[in-house]
Amino acid sequence: MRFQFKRVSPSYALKLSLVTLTWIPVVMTFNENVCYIARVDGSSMRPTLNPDDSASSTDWVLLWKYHARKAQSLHRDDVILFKSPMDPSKTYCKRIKGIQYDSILTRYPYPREVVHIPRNHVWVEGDNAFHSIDSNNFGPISNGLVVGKAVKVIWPPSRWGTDLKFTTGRHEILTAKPK
Amino acid sequence: MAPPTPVLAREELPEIPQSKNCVLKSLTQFQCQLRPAGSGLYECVPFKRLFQECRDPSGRFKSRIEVTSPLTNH
Amino acid sequence: MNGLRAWTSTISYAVRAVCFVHIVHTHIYEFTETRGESMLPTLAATNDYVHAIKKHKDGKGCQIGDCIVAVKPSDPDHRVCKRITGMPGDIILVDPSMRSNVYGTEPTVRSIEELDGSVEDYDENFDSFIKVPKGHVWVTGDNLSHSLDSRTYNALPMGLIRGKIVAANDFNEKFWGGSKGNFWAFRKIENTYIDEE
Repeated sequence: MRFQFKRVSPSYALKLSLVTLTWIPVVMTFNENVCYIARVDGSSMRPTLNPDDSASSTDWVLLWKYHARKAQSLHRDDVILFKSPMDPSKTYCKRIKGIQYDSILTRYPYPREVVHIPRNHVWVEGDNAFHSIDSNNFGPISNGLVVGKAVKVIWPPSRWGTDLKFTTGRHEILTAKPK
Repeated sequence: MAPPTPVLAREELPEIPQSKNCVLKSLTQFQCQLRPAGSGLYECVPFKRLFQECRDPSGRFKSRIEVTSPLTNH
Repeated sequence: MNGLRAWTSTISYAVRAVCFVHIVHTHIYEFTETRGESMLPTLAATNDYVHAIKKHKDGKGCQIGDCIVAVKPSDPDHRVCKRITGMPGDIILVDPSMRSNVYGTEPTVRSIEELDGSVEDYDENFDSFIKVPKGHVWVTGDNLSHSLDSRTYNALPMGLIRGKIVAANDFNEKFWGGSKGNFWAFRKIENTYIDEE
């Protein structure tokens, strides 16, 4: 026993843990700026995400973050995670239904029938349109609130092949596409 | 862009409360102009904004309404 | 072989150092340059550097009168430095400053005599109120004449706030003995929301 303790000397253990510590910022930087695995709760993206009612079926998605806030990397029908404009401590998962300069036909409770999306903003809605708090409540959101783009379902493994664009919620809501 | 927010006229506001739990607060900002042209010097005129801040009897913050008027800055 | 190992270890050190600085800048503290006339006279138009505390990210613990740095809502690549002049739920005037509301135009500071005298006859500027929505703050530059702010782009979502500005250094000033203070005009940026006597 004694012999084995000597093989990992305290100074070596200390050095090893210090070296490990210096890599933590690298991992954090990667998770915050390149990609990350995020959990998606709630029913607003049903049937694309969390299709079942059972609590065990919470989906985990691969979230791509690099350049995710750039207008040119946000497209219609992309699934994004973004900070709620009404409460920055909450993160919502919705689908982009309109990008900058689009005109959108809104739904209750938005007070105007047609909305023009300003520069560097997106219009987001849940696939489960009638159980979703989305842009019809809080308006277009700034690209700056985007956390990342969901590119793949990671968990549960039975749904690895899920096409995130299989169902896309409300249709025919663009009044005019910009040239 | 923020959620759709209506612009309200004075008549549409809730009544500005006047009680001992309310205090008048101020926040001073400025209007600056480059003067004279090319000198790189600025002249700033202060612009004071006034707010009526009210608390409920237990001292918790309740409401804040701006009461700046054309007469409060001269 | 030795050369390759030296290169690998140099790159590894560099990556860790850069990421460490990045994480500190995102979550703890940042010292950064500001430009523009919108925060005059609090911050100079050029060469003024601010100390920002990042624990106030997402508007946590921010109050009316605080000076903040935030992502510009109309352009996520740019950041703006403004003062909070309305918290969620506050009822405030959209633009009481006496000028036309077009960015960059000459301000027209009118005197009280031009306002027809009567107190009842409020200028339209004094009759346009807005209730700041939940999760948002109203921000304006300290220089109301040259500032693109909430008066143009509406309330700012708190999720765009990146930090609170607590102090500044002006590198236009001398290291010691400048007009605003010592150490390159080091001064605290105070909250300007105060009791009215």
